[in-house]
Amino acid sequence: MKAPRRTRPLGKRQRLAGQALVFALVVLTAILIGFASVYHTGLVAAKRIELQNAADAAAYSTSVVEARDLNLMAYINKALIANEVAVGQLIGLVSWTSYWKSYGTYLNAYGKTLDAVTLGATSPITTPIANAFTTSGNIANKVLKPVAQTGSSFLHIANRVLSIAQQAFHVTSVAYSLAQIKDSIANNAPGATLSPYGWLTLAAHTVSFGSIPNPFGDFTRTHGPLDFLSGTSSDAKDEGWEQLAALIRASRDPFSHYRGWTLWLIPPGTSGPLTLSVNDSIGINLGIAKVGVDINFRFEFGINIQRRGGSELRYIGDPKDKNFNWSGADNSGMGAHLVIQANIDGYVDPIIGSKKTFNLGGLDVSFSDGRATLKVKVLGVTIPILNNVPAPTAIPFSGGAAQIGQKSLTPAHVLDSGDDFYGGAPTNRLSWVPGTTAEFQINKLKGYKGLPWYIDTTVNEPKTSFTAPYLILGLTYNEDTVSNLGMTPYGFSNLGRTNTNVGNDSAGGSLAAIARSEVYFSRPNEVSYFQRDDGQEEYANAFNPYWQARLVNIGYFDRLLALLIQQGQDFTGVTGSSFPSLPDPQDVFKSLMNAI
Amino acid sequence: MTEINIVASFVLIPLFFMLPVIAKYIDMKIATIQAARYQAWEYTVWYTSNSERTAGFSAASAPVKSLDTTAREAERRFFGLENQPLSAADSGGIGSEAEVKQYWRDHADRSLFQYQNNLNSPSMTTTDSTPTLPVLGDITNLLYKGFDAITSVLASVMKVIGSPVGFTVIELDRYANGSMSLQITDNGIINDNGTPITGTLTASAAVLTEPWNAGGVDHVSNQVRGLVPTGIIGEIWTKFTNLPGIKQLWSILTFFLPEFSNDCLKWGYVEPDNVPPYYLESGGSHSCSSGLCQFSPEPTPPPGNCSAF
Repeated sequence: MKAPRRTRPLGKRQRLAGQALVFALVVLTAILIGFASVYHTGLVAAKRIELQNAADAAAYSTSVVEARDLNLMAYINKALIANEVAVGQLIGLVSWTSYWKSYGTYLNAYGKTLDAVTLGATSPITTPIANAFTTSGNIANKVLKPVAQTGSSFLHIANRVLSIAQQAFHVTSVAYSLAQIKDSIANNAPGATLSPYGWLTLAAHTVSFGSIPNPFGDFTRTHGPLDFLSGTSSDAKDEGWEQLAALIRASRDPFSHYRGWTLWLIPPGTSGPLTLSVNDSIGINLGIAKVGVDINFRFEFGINIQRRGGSELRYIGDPKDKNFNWSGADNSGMGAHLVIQANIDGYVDPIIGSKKTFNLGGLDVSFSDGRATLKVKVLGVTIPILNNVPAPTAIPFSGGAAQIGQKSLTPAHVLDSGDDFYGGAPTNRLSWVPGTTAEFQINKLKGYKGLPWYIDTTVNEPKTSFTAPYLILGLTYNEDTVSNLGMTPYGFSNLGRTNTNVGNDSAGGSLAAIARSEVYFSRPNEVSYFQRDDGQEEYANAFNPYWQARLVNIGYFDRLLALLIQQGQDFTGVTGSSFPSLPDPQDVFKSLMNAI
Repeated sequence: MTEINIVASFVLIPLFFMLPVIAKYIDMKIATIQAARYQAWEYTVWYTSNSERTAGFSAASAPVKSLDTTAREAERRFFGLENQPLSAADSGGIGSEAEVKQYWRDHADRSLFQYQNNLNSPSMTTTDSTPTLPVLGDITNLLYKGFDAITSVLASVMKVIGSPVGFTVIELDRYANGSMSLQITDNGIINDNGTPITGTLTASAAVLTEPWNAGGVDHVSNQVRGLVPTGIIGEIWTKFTNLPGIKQLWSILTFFLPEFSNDCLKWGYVEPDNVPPYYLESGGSHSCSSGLCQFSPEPTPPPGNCSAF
């Protein structure tokens, strides 16, 4: 039996053995924690930057898609207007041929009338000239009528095709947006996905941009077959057609707007009538006062050859697309211009007190541009005998007209339209009696079925920060992606927060980022080749293609909403005092809930 | 003490030295991500070449920056010395070790970045790879490409006669896709063949650019007339009536028939300014009477003259 081994007391050196290992382990652990912390925080930061890049790129790219859609919309709207103006030009040409042809008719009529005075000497001179007008006018009319009819039909079809393309591009831009969001995420931060908040804001944005009925308001409005999508009211539809008609009228070329001129025969070689003007004062000084009369007299006289003409777009009945009609009117004649304006005022100008004037009498005569006025003034009382009434101020030389549309106009429509329409042709009133009336019905063309459908923007202010023109996108890396970094998502759940009540688990185990973008209109007046002629600032619209995209700031409310929905943040117990100078988040969310 | 020496020599001290190096590699990774973003987003403003310029725009020279220039610029601005002012010389990239970010050096003051061969391969592309959504994306692309094909043919015809008229704004290949790589090395760690270990950090970024907006009044007119049949006819007609001999005959004819002068009858006329007045700062409205609609205030009449007198 072995005697038990006697243990010897350890020496000092032996007692210290192994203690360094403990120290080494402690230091090693500290360094490893530091190492892991640097490594993982670095990776999370890198992933977070990638995610923000993806959110920025997806939001910006979506706005670029929408800017493309709006620019395409504007290019097409401008093309629709230009094609409509081209229809007006073609109708104007047919109207011109009948106007040209009618010179022959008028010449023959005047020749025969003058034969009675000239003992038959006029007709032999006027007939060949009249025949030349009639023949050339007939040829031109026979050639241009089918050209105008075919051309107008073609332009009308071209506009329908452009309209359909515009609607199709608008609808498919939504698909394009979704596709590029997917691409942007894949190319910037593979593995990231749209968060529930991102889907919510994207959906709200899409319905507001795409004219789909929604509580946020529309950014675009369709006038055409898809207008049921935007829930457009009947009045708004009419407004849409009327707006387009006014815009087309304002966009006519000089030929359609006013194809006229005036040649003054008396006085010859001038650009206006003979004018005589007298402004004088005659008086005597009686010592205590000056008494006398002020005489103002103006006399204008002239004879001119006036040519008037233009094309107009107008609707008959309700302003629906198929109720619109293009018409043109042209005429010429020898016009008289007479204006007499006389006024005599008596006055007494005493040494003490102010000057007193009183009317003694006056006369206002005007006979020009299809209107007549005759007013007499006696002792300050005006007696209107004729007050700017329609009058035959010109002897007609020619008159022609044409129209195209499913609804027909009558000459009465043109005569009643007003002096400023059809390039002033209605003012040559006598030409409508023998000439233009018949031609208006003869030159009735078919093939034009009204205005094109189109889309424009609304002037509504966006009701939320994420409905069009704004967009907010929220992205997250899912839990697996974050876990693959080899860590729980510590640290970032508190990034940027000052409130210690917010728990570390509140981010739902995912990295998140939000980005906000905007599609905006910019026509810089300070750049010469962008400048408007009138120098005015132009606001956002779908009639000029100056839309661009940009990233914009995210507001406080959007951050709170993102925290609530995207990261499941529990705001219980969070008060406004945690966010100095900012609204209490509880109040903000109460408002939001009430709004919903 | 022996254990502490062993642990310190083989574990603690290497880890201690590795810690800042890891931090520096992470910094390099983040810089690579930022450089990739820079490359892609630069093309929201610049064109990659003159051929990318939209046709019909001649008011100013378009901003062009090559892919290579942008890559070198990104290298210089994100991998180069800190706190340097932006300079045109940045397009030269990093030319010497002294230009590399000072922070990216190991404890022995050796660079962790192999700047010499960093940009040997193309790192940036613009593609038409978007959208890639199945079916819907294909339909969308087909629609755009079909429309573009028709209008581009017309634009080509116009180009032959020397006209800038043509609708060519539809460009699906403006998807800037930047990929940046950064060659790293650690001279402190030698691999089996006796050379320092090397590696590559990569990052990519992509963004859709080019919103198809117009470059001013003339550009709008040139593009829109490409969608207006009479705009194309008018352009040919204007060229024809300006031919020697024809021009003189046309002048005589239009003296008697001024309505047909090129200053009056403007085929394919595109009014560049008119929009509903409520889209202008002065405001206004439209109204209709007897089926005739007009704006108030009335816009300025179109430029031109239909009178020979």
